[in-house]
Amino acid sequence: MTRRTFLQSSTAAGLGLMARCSPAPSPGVIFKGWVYEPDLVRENLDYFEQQTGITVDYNAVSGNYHDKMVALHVGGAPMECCYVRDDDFAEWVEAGWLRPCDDLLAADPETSATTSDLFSYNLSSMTYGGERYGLPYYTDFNIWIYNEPMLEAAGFDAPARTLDELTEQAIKVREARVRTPAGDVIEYPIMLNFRQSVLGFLDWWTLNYASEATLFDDDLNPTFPDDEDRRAETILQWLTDGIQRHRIISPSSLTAGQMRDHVASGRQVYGILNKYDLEYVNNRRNSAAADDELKRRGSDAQHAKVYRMAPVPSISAEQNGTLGWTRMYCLTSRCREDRMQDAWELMKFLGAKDAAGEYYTARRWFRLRGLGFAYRSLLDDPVVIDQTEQWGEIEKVREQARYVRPRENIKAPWFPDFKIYYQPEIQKVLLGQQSARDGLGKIAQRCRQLIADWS
Amino acid sequence: MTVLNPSHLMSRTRDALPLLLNLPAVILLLAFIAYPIGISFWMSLHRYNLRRPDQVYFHGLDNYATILASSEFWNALWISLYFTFMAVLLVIVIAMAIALLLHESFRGRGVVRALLLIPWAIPGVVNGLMWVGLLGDYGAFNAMLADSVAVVNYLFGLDIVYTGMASPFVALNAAIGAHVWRSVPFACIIFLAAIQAIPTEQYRAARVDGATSWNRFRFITLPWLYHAVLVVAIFETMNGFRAFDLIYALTGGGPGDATHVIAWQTYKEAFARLDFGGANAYSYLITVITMTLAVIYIRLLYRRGLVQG
Amino acid sequence: MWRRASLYIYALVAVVYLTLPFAWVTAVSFMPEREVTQQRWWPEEPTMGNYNLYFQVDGRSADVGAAIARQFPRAIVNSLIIGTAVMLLNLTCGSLAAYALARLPFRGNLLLLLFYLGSRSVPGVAIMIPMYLLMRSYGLLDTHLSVILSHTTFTLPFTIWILKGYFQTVPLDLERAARVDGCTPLGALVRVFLPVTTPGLVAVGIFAFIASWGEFLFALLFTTTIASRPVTVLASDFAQELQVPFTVIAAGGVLVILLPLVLSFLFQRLIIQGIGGSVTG
Repeated sequence: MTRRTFLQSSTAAGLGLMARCSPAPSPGVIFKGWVYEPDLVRENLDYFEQQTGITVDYNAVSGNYHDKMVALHVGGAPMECCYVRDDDFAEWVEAGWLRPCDDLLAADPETSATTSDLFSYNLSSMTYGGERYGLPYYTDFNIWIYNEPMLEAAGFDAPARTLDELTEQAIKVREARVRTPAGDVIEYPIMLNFRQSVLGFLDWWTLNYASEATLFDDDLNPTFPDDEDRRAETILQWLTDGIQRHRIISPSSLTAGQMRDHVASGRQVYGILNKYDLEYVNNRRNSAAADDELKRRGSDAQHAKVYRMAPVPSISAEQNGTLGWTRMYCLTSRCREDRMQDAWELMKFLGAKDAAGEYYTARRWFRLRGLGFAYRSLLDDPVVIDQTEQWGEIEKVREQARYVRPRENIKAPWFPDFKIYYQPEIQKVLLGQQSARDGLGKIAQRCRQLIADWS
Repeated sequence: MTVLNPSHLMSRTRDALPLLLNLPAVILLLAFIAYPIGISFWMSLHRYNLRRPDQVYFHGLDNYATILASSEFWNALWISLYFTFMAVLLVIVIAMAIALLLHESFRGRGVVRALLLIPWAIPGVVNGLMWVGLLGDYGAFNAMLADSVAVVNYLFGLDIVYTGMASPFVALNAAIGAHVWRSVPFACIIFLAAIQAIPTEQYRAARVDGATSWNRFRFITLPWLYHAVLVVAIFETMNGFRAFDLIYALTGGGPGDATHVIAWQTYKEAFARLDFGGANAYSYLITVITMTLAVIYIRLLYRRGLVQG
Repeated sequence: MWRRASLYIYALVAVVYLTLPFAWVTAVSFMPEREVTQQRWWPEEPTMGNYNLYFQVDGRSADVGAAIARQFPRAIVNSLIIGTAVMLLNLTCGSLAAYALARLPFRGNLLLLLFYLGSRSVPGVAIMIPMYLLMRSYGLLDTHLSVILSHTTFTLPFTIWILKGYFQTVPLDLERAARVDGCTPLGALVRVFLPVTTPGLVAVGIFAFIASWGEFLFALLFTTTIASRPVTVLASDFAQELQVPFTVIAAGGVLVILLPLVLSFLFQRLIIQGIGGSVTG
């Protein structure tokens, strides 16, 4: 009996309740996910059950998914398969809650073949310690967007390419006093997402990767604040100046969570969005900006390309890159032996191909909700091309997809500790409470300490 | 205060009955609070991080030493003390003001009394969401604050830039304001009852002596309310140190580390870092702090002879 | 005259302070989505749309969040069951304990009082995980009972404190008379004492009910399906991970608040008497 099991069971032991009263085991494959469109998930599962005759016991987990799942895993709740975020992936593997699927892949050449179709950042996000754990649920990357009619109103026909150009352009846009559909003058042309959140702060990485900054070396030692050309510091300084000096970046960047709605209301000239939200902000159903533009044109179309995609502004013009993330399906280490094959069938159906050899679920998510996919070949799918062209440009998507990186240290065992430390420190820089160099220096020092603690 | 002397009612030999009457409550609390507390204390003496399931071992008070040596703890403690102090103070002042109002007789008093219970009836989560809306970019309160800053700037020729919840000062104090708003009704009920229990002859006598209304408040009302104020202070101190839901919904700890209260820090240890050893040590420190404060309050109550043993 | 006027202004300020935040949320719940971003106090084109979402039982709506919204009625029933049980447990265990503390002198009663107070000063985050494991080992996860028990433990100390204070305000003569008539202490409690203390009992009962109705952390942790999930947990589903418009969240908030609000209005007099009486006796 290890210490851990001792601690875990001591609650029960103390009351003389070692014999656990457990409810009857579920007949189907137990599958849990966070709350996103549970009705659509159920529809997909109905189709799967029809195709294969396997029953799925699906349950959407309320509240904070990470915290609730930690409780379920610690408590040993029966579960074959669950959603996993790349943010939590390494942590859950380290805790011993997930099961590698290399053996199942090896026995299944058809599914193995889809591995080479994955974007490399997705594949790397689903692999830990050389072992493969997951199949992709959805994935996407961040894009830079600009409001084309507003830029035109301010006298620009193209968005700024570098950060310095962006400063100049944004000041002029602000001085042009462009107005929102509701008639308000836009005070801050730029808003970014720098709210503290366990899943957030992605814009920090996006801007760094756009300038091709390397924040960690191959052994995950921090290279900032003295990385090549001090890019991290330059970017952080640019952000701070944008908020404090030039007043082109909204201070609400530190608190606002719902970037998508802010953009859709037409209060923003520039920003960073999840790629799949481009559909939302150009759809008149949700977007005052799109609705306004379509009314002006007298069009009855559903979408207007008010917001357009561009490379994320970088320190110098030839740099390009962005951040991508991955949501995946994994088998849990408590997956019952006699359900293993059924659970794998479910994983395949959801995360790769269905019985008919189609990327059924991934395509359906894209079609219905615009969610991004992890398979390259889907970028050539006629339905995908056709739909993307309604609200964006497939060529730009293909181009940007070539430069996507996952967070470099996301698989470090100390990533969770890092995550709660760096966000407040960066915010303190943005608030003017410490210099960019000091803030980055403190973060780097904490990283080195964490590396020592965890080695 | 009626001083009871029930000794002639019951004989001292019958300790069994009162203990029996307390048994259901004690069993429930022992099983579902004392026991988990015991377990969590035991965990707090271990290195126990879920990310290292094979490295769980006893290491005495190390977690406590680590915490007490960390700047995060002292920063969080300081913020929590400020939060709690301001909250207790504001709750007492505002609740007292409303209780004094409700003690007056005027038309519509019944309506005000009924409305008093609104903030209290609102569940914590909903309260959090509500204030997120009110103080967010599109919130009515946010707009009001922005306007009043503009007025101040105009009147005094200042150039204060209002940045809403992105300002550490605004964020922390707004969180306190939201917390206070929900706590006022309970305190107010207690104050109101206490005021109504003050014998009216005292006021009459004071008026005859020509005391001002401030003096009447200072020398009659306040001393009579001493007990009620302490009761409110006990409960509000505990609530202040435990404030978590609201911070979670409203500020997420930011901006910077402006709203990293101690309960938030505990939560992060447990669920962001999965360090159950450290998190339990944190909770113990909170419990010790609140218990110490509670015992101080209770001693004050006893010294005044306001609680019977 | 000016004293009257200033009293009414004073009252107006108090009313505004107490109601404004909630009034705004109520107003927002009747606004169409696009009006929210305009910092309005009043809906220009009021709509019931946000509420309808919660009561559409027909088929599958394309609206994000509709799946959760449809579980609302069931969740309200769950909350009712849990709240009522918590109230009853509080009243039975609480009044017994409080009666003993208020009326029957015994050794260790101060110790018990401190124990009750102490158990309230433990932060919820501290005992969440051990409590979860405990519920699991009893096989109580995802049942009403797990939520009922956890809510009872954190409301009970408060109930006992308040009831003890309230009981002490009741004149001793009543029971003395009953005892003279030959009642046992327990008989005196049930037949004479409890009827007299109804305001206090109603007050703490409602208090416990509303506290249980509004509790979130434990309810979230212990429930996984709609078989036991109460309404606060469901309400948070909207807010946390879904990108649901604030108008819909506001409507959900108003629905969740409705019952506690009605209860507190109905029993306003008793609550103020009961809770207030307990600390002034």
